[in-house]
Amino acid sequence: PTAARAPTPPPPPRRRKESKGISEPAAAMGIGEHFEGVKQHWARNLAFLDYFKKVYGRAEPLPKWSDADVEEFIASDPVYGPQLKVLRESRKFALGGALVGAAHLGGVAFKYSKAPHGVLLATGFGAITGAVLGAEVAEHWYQLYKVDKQGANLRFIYWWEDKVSGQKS
Amino acid sequence: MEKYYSKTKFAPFRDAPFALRGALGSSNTNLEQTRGYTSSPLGALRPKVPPSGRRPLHTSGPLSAPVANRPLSPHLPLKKPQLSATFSISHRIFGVALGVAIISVPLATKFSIMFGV
Repeated sequence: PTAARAPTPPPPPRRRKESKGISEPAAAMGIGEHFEGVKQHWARNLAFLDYFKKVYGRAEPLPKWSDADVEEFIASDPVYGPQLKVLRESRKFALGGALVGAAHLGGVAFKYSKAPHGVLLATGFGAITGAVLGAEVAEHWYQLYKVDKQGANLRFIYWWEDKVSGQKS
Repeated sequence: MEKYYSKTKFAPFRDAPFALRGALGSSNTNLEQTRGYTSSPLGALRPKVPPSGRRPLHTSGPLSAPVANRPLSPHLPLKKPQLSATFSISHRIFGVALGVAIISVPLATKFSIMFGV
């Protein structure tokens, strides 16, 4: 009974215009196959989440450290110490920017606004905006864009973990 | 003008910044005056606004001279809550909440790295 079938295979399903450039028949791919293709891409894109898992997602949290501990690490580590130092210095830029932004926008709102809650919201928004702007200034002032900030923090975390476990045993 | 200002509930706060007037004086609701406003036939006889020739338009104060307990525009107690109004209000509330949630993820990421250690 199969002899009656036409010898030519059925034509491929029509594609939409957008997928014209793709040589592989994308429409024939299953979801799992598609996921296999893009898994590495998303693993690279979401790799920054690993930092939060290591810092905040610990089974038992690390004991608190003080500024003196951080200073000790900065003095001891020739590579990541200076990086962590400038990262901590950049806080002052963010805080100063927050102060300036809050004073500016809050002041304008207090002078002209007719709504007390608007003054409050404007002050908060000015603080956030100023902090972001101050952080951006610090980024260029200290060339923080060259620094692996998560890496510098993680180095300290690991150093602190080693130090604490060494004290315990 | 002074005569009308002395009757308003904002009268003690005339020297306060405009933004604070509502917060300072919003708590007193004077029932007798409300009833008098709504039901007294004499209310139509008194002129409530000054003659419009010399009225200053560009001031930081309210445009018309506020009469004591004049009913203000969103007459919420008079209205039955409608589905459309409820949807609109909750739509805005959820929109603001969603916006705040979306904007705080990158902000928290940024500042947690900066202030974390």
